[in-house]
Amino acid sequence: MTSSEWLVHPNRSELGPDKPGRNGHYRPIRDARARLPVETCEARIALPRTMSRLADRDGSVTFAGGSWLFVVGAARTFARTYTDVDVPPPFGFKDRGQWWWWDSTTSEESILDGPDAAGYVRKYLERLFPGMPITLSDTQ
Amino acid sequence: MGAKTARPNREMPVAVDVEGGVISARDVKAAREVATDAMTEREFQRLANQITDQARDEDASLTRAARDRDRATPRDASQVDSARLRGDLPAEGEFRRALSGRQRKIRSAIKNQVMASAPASQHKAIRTMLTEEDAREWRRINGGLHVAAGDTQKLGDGDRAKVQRLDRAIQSYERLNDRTHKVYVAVELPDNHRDVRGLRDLPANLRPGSAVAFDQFTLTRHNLHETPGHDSDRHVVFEVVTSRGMYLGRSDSVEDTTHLLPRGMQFEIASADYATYETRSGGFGERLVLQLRER
Repeated sequence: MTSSEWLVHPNRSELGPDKPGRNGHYRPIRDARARLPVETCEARIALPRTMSRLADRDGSVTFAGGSWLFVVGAARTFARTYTDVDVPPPFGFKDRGQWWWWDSTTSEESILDGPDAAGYVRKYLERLFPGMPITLSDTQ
Repeated sequence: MGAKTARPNREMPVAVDVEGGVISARDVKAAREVATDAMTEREFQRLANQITDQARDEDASLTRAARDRDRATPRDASQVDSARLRGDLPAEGEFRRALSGRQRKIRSAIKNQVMASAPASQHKAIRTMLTEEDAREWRRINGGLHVAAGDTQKLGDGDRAKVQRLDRAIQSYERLNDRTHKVYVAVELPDNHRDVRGLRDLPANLRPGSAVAFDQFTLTRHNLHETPGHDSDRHVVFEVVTSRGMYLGRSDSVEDTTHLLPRGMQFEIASADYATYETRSGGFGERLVLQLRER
């Protein structure tokens, strides 16, 4: 008996639709009608006319979430997918007790918990969407 | 010709479904209608199975083997005694590192132990369900488990036996295992659903607070970057922290951190956050991750 015997064939987890018999098929089992997402942080970017197909009716795109980390994550994904901008590293993450930020700085506490959170977010978004007007709002 | 018959109004169930949230992964209209009925029925079915399993466990006239054979879903054989080895879902912003070589070796060693002591029938079940190139058996049996809302007693005798052999192999692993696993699995959204980048893009029934059931066996990965669909907005990625299931990956330099979750698991969606994770090259990936907490 070799140790390589119980190795799952790659086709068992290949990508596919969410259907019976496919890997990862799930069934939602509780009514979630009351669970509207709580979006306390919001960033609105006015897109240039060349990107109008991606914009809302007012010509902008909005990223909203329960925290600034969610907003910058969504914004970065959008920029990476639809623009040619040289996308900076992810805004920040916590690893082994320390926060690491996209501009290579580190901190013990999250800079997003401080009073300048929106300022940091704006600076990052300006890098993601150069020259585009940015509006931030925080209702936390 | 009876062209005008008094047909019942079949539109009603669809109207009810609108508030309940679109069942994301079914075909547009008909599937939605069917799914509403089927889901309600299966929810009851799952609950009934759970109650029956519990009642049978209290019946002292049956042997443990008989009680296990008749169960709808497998018993949880896992335990994590050490607080140090008991993990929880990562907090928002926590970096998702790839599984270390040491952690892979520890899991692999238990897998080898289980493999060495498994009877031929379990080897055969693993081969036909998981390791052979022909995936028909995996699809067919998992499809059957879906239809039966996870109740293996509804399958034919041969399939039931095979499912229970795989259950037992997983349980053998769970008994020897002493730590939790953080694993990922992706689900592809149907074509008629928009890409998911924000909370409002999530299907209503996959928002935090909703519950999700895996009636089937599920193949997951310990490494997010290894999970098929990790780099696509057409996929929803679930993150699970559990003591259950069996490691089926490798310990050597080949990147394979496959982990098989048992069937009949139920979760609640604890959060939907952007997660930064380590990529194959040691760089950063970032994506929306739905955290599932076992119920």
